[in-house]
Amino acid sequence: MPRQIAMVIDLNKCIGCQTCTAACKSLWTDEAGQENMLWNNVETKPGPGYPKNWEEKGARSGWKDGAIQLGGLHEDEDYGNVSTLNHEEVYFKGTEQRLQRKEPLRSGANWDEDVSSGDFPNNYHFYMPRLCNHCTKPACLEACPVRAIYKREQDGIVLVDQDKCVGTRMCNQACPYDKVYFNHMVSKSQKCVFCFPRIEKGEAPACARQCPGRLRFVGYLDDLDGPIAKLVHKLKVALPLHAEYGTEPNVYYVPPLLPQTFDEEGRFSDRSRVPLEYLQGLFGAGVEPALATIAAEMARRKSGEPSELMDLLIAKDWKSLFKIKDVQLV
Amino acid sequence: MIYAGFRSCKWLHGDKLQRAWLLMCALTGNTGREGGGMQTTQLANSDGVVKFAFAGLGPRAKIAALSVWDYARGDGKQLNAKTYGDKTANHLDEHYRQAIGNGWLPDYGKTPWKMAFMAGHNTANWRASGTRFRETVLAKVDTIVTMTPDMSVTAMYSDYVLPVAHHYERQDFVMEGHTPFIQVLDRAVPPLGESEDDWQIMARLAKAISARAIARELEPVKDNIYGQPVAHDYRNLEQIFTLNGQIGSSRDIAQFLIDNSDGMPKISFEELARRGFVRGDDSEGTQFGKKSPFSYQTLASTQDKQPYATLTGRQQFLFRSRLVSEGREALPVYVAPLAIEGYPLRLTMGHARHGVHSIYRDDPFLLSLQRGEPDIHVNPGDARLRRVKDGDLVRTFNSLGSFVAMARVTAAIPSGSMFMFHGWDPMMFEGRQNFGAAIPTAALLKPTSLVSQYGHLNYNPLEYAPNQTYHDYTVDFERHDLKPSAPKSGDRSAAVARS
Ligand code: SF4
Ligand code: SF4
Repeated sequence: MPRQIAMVIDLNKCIGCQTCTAACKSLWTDEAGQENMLWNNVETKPGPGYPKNWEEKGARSGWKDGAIQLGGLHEDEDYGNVSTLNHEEVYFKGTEQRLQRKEPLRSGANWDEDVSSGDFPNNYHFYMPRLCNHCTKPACLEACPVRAIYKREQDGIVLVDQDKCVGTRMCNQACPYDKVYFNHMVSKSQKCVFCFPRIEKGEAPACARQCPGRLRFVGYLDDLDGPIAKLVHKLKVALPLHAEYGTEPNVYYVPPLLPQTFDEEGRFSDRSRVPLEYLQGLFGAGVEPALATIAAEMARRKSGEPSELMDLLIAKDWKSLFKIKDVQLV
Repeated sequence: MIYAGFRSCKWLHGDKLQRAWLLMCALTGNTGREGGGMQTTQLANSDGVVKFAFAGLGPRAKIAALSVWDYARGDGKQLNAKTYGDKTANHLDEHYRQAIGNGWLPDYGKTPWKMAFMAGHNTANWRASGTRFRETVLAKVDTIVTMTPDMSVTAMYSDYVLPVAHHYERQDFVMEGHTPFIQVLDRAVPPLGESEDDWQIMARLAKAISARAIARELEPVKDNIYGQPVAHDYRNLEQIFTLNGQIGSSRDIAQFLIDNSDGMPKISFEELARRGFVRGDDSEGTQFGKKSPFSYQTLASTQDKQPYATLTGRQQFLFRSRLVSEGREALPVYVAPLAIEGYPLRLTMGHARHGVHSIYRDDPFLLSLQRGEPDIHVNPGDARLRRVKDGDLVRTFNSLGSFVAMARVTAAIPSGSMFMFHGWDPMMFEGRQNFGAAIPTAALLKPTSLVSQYGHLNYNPLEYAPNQTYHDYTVDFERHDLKPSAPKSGDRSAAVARS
């Protein structure tokens, strides 16, 4: 029986600190040719995200009526232009320039950080970490003409075989989440590997293990006692992102339940802060019942009753986030 | 438990704000019990540090409150007059003079500041009125030596820069009062270039000073520290500094502190390094117990019924002193923060949520996750009024000065406010002037904090002293004509070289 490893990301707890991004970057993509790759990125929603306007391309990619669509490629700029700083000039050549990037940044991985929608004090925004979804129906795999991409039996991790890849970039075009990157130095496509060497040792991927917010759950979907099956199937509070792209993603999100808006008197109203339609646009029709479940369980917990969901989401013991093999303390 | 942090202390009336919180805790029965009360931070127990730093020597350090020092050095009265008008300036100055006259405060204006040795801070960056401080105070110091891991703006003002090894190039540990853990900082790579473990730099200086003192046959130098006569024998400095050769590196200090501090698990540094972190003893709950490695001082009164140092020996909410005329100080009632006439917007700041410390602010990767350069949050309506679009460079200004940063237009900021994460070094701004150019608060001294001989209100730099204020002012902003552009060699810039 093939198995599928999966991740649940609780958007209620993400503080946008980018520790996950930095953990991934320093572990996997710190070589020449990988400068603007963020296998894990954190973007602000609502907003154009990373690469810029990926959802526009996403809607033109993925699966449609049983066939793969190729949505085209982004400009390199959409990933944020790469530049070093003028340290040399400022500190060793005695110029009076300010210390700055040689090329100013024009759109970065989280250019819209804290750029809020709506009007103060009822404005809203939240941070959304993204990585390859290790899809059950990976569009990238289907699009590759030389079969360089494969999905592992034992955990469903989708990998690009670096020896077989010839750099056609068809996978880049097909992936609706823009989670395949192209390395111009070696002319090969590269993407998130779900830290498979760590998974094989029973350790969570670096992005999840380093997260100070304790909000990224990792485990097998078929493990009914594990956190993933509970959040996705039993309690139904974790939802796939843009399920309509058709790839059956295996990264799930607990949608954000921000505080209600204020009324004129400065009291909480019963209106939700993030428009429901916006969240439904991301996570589909399951948003409404998921938020209702979370609100109800919060109320239960507040009144002193036990709540399995709140215990899971609060994650007082960090080991409860992961159920891979054994959680090892390293 | 109200976790207050240090931000409220940075308002002129922060003392009242905190008094209000404490009063609220008392009135609602949330004081003296687990999860109750107010806390800014939980300090480490100092017993190990004291054994190390003062080993048998008695008092050795003179510590000045920054605010009082800056008031004396930087002509505080003139700065206040320019910013808040003569009335406020005279009023504060009267209180200051009275405190100096009564001997409540040391007068730091008397002796010239000839030499500065900077270690562990980037003082020209974070000080209130930073640019003015650089121009009127720092520029007059004869010799400046700076120990720093990065080329900060303070380093740029220095005659000598001693490069310090970074985290992970040296061996140390950290404790942070909101977690019960002692966490290792181990050496992963050797120090870069000529940089060295900061302890070793200090030890080499001590050795050189001792050698000179012996060669000059220097007799012990008499001094007076808080009323106690002491003699500094520089011929022995190296011996004193290394505890007679016992301490040779930061690692040795770490081991000394582990061995000599209460509440620390007694393990070797190597064991700590292997485990990564260990838990301090007696550290369950929101405030840690008597046997923990953290200070118990704040709990001694509520748990052990030891009297407070106040006039009444209890928590005291009424403050009545002839010395502070305003009745509005008697109880913690609301007083509006100060504003500068003609400048409508209030600029506030805080630590970056994402915790990018200023020593890493010029890291290209971390910058690429934000805007690549310093940015300031503005309200959409306020921006529209001034024809500013998201991403434009704006000049923020008031009567003291101005600085330029990129506008981040966001509905998260209420109209009438601006916000900036601090920690951006002046080196990264046009003219090398950051917000320090427009923060005119260095000389705002809260009169109640100048009072002495009133219960616990007595000048003591580590316990009760006027705070440096950072927020009680206003600004305006306008579009800066230059778009973010590649550096040009002709960039207008204040010379960093001292005249
Ligand atoms: S997210 Fe994209 S790259 Fe990852 S498996 Fe799915 S289709 Fe392939
Ligand atoms: S490390 Fe965790 S909290 Fe920080 S941005 Fe990533 S997911 Fe969010």
